[in-house]
Amino acid sequence: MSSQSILRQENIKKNYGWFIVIVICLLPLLKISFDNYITLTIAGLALGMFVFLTASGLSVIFGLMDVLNMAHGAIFAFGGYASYTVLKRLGTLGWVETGTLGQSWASFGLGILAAIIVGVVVGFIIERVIIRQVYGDHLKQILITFGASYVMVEIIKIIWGPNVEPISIPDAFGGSWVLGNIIISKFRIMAIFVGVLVLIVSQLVLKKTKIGIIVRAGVENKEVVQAIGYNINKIFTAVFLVGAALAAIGGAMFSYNKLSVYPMMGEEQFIFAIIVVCIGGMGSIAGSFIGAIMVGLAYNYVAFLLPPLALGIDILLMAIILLIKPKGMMGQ
Amino acid sequence: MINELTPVQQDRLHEQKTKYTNKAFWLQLIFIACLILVPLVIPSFRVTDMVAKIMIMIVLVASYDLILGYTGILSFAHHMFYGIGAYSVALLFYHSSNPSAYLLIAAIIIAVALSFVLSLLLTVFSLRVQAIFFALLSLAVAEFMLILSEQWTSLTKGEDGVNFPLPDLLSSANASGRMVTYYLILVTCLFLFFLLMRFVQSPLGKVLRGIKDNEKRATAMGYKTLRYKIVPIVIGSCIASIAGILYALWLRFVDPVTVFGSALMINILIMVIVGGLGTLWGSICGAVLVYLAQTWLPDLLKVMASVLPPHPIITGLTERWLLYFGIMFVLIIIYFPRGVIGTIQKVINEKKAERLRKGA
Amino acid sequence: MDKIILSLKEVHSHIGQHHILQGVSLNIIEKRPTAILGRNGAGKTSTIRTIMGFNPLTSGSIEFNGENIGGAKPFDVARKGIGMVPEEMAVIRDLTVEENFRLAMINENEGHWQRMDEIWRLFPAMKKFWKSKAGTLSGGQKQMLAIGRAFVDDRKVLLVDEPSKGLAPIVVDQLGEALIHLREKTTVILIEQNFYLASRVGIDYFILDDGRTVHQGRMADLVNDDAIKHKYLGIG
Repeated sequence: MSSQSILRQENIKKNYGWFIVIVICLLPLLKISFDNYITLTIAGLALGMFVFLTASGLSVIFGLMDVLNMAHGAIFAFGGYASYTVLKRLGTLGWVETGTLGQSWASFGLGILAAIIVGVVVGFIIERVIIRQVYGDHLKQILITFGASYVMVEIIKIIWGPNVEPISIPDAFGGSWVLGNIIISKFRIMAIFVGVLVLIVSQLVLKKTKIGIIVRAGVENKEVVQAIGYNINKIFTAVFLVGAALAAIGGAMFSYNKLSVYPMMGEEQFIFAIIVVCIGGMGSIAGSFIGAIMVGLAYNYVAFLLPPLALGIDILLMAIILLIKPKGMMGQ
Repeated sequence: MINELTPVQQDRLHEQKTKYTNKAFWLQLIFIACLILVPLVIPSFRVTDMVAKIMIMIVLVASYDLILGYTGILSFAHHMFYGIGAYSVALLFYHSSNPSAYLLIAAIIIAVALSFVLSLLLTVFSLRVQAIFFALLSLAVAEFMLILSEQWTSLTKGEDGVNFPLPDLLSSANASGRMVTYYLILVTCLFLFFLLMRFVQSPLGKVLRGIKDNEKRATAMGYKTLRYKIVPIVIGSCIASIAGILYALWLRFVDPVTVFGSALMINILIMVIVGGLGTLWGSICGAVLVYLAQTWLPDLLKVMASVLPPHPIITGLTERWLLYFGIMFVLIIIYFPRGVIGTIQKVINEKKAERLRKGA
Repeated sequence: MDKIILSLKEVHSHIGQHHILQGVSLNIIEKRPTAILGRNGAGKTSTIRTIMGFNPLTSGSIEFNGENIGGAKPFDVARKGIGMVPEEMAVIRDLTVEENFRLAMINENEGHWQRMDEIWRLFPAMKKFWKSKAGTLSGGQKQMLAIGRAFVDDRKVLLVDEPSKGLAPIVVDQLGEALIHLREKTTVILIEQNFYLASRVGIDYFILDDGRTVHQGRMADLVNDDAIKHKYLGIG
């Protein structure tokens, strides 16, 4: 084979992820009207961003620590509920629905901040109290975090009640822009921005900073990193907490988008996060990003056409990609 | 020199001689006798109901132990096959105008065939990659089944579930219908459990244990481990679907959340771990213990609630018994991972090792 | 005065039920390059893993620079001044050569880059492939990277585990030259089955067999002692 054709093959293999994304993007145009298509695409991308936030943390935690945290979804839920509580309080002060632009931004920011704080605390508890007990044993980790996720859902039900609670988001973020027949939700555009921002920041940190180098090295070979002189346990905890914070932000944004919180929200989104991590590859944030776009878009398109099968299309994607690349698109 | 037996041979001989006289054998016999007598002797239907449900759970949990305990493969979709079995019966009988025994046979064939194909697909897809992907894929697929069963209302009647009639022999319309169903369940469960035991003790079963112990070693010895792993997963899944069929026959009502919901999966997990992974007897122990706990824990909590002041957090704490289950599950995995039977086995083995050491 | 920088006394190590080290005793003198020899499975790699803290120390003592480091965590041992070049997978393939080196520069300072200059002189390939991913390097270059990376941070002792494994003789020669040069800067402890390389680099030696020290002395004497070489190393 000529070196040119080998290069071309390599390029196709590297970029087939984008290729699939493009196919997913274009196919639905056959069956959906353009206006609906735009709305669905934006909604799908936004959905993908929420899942990306959860999945990225999950993926790096697994890549670095070999820990599959089944309770990650619970952190997502706690993030959502934390921002719900903050917004409710601020709502009584009139900041939310009727406040000024500054108050809108402040309430949004405070909600996210609350989510981060709660997420980090919950993540810390999970890591210290639960995962530390079973380091090294994959099966026990999965089972124990699975059990812990149930405990957390029940705790949520105790603190906030088992029902769906509505959230009103700050005035400035609600509503949509209308372009002709197309409705573009303001918040979803914002969510997409946040997701892309997280991607860019994470890539910068990973590629340009010392800690990023250490984390990337640790994902590949923990022992060498220790032998060089780094306390890998402290790094684990730090990464875990960052992952938890991201998941909590995802939960907060998700609840703003859905205008409600409910106890099972974490567990439901966790399934998507799993699919994204499998598609994108364990340990790769960029992989999670592409995977999340695929999953979000595909889900929304199919949900529009054949609602019960929406999750099925994502599972199908996962199966196909695992067949082509058993470690996920960018997995190691 | 030739007449001197090695310790292992001595042990074997001892086992064979006492096969029909040792405690374990008689315990099993008594246990089975009790099961046979329950509906005849005990007047309360509630007890019979509980026993029937426990028997079905035992088979479900034992089939899961085959997959997780003996072969070492974690799956979160076991309850899905149970649901497939239950719904096969439910839908066939619901849509037919003439419920007959032949329809039941058709339901069994459909359920087992579906489970066979689905578990095969699942296994082939995901065992080529890391085991963790199998677990995650199974989780996603099971969730998908739940959504499908809730939303495909034209087929499954949706969230409200399906009520359906049974063939005359089993139907509650005639006086002894319940009894016949009970004995059908009893015989089937005994048969399936026996099947599992034989499988586990067969050469194939031993290969599986070798694979679980150290897959690389098994591969190096020449075993095509993937093919060997497919067998217990498919068998376990099919048995689970038969358990689902029995469930449907007993309850005459099937709804999506009970059979496809993850609460059932976590129940199976708790039971198999409490009882003891990798010991079929553990599934009996675990199923009984957990089932009893689930029946009485809510009542216990209500009693406590009546004694304590009515603060909303306290009410919440006493209502949500699942919380304590989850906590117990976590604690058991940390401190008591071998389960009841597993710990007993460990103690027995240690005593045996001591005996051999002293004798030698 | 000859200072003993690393000392192992009757070190035993168990992994599960396996009694891996059954009494290893070594005394390494500062700046005296030492070879640790022995057949496959003699316990050489296990010994340095136990020194580093990756394998558990069941009994016996390990002293470094007068300080007891038995049971210390690997990153602690490394920080105290022991560098390790593991047998396999020593370089991080996904990182560039530059990133591999910068990874090793803890609290990056002038000294690091001075040593970096030396490494570039010893291993010009490192400069040439500075921005390339370490995974694209050849086997020999990866070893150069591994050795250089262990050296770039100021370490008093360098534990080098079978660097010549799988490499062509001409590359092994290059490595040998580099190790000989490094002998002046730090205490080199070289595990090797390639006796020629070991004898070029090491001045003292210890031989391990079955997880314990069975022979020791000066390399100059061992080179001529065919009986010992044949008995414990299977050569000559």
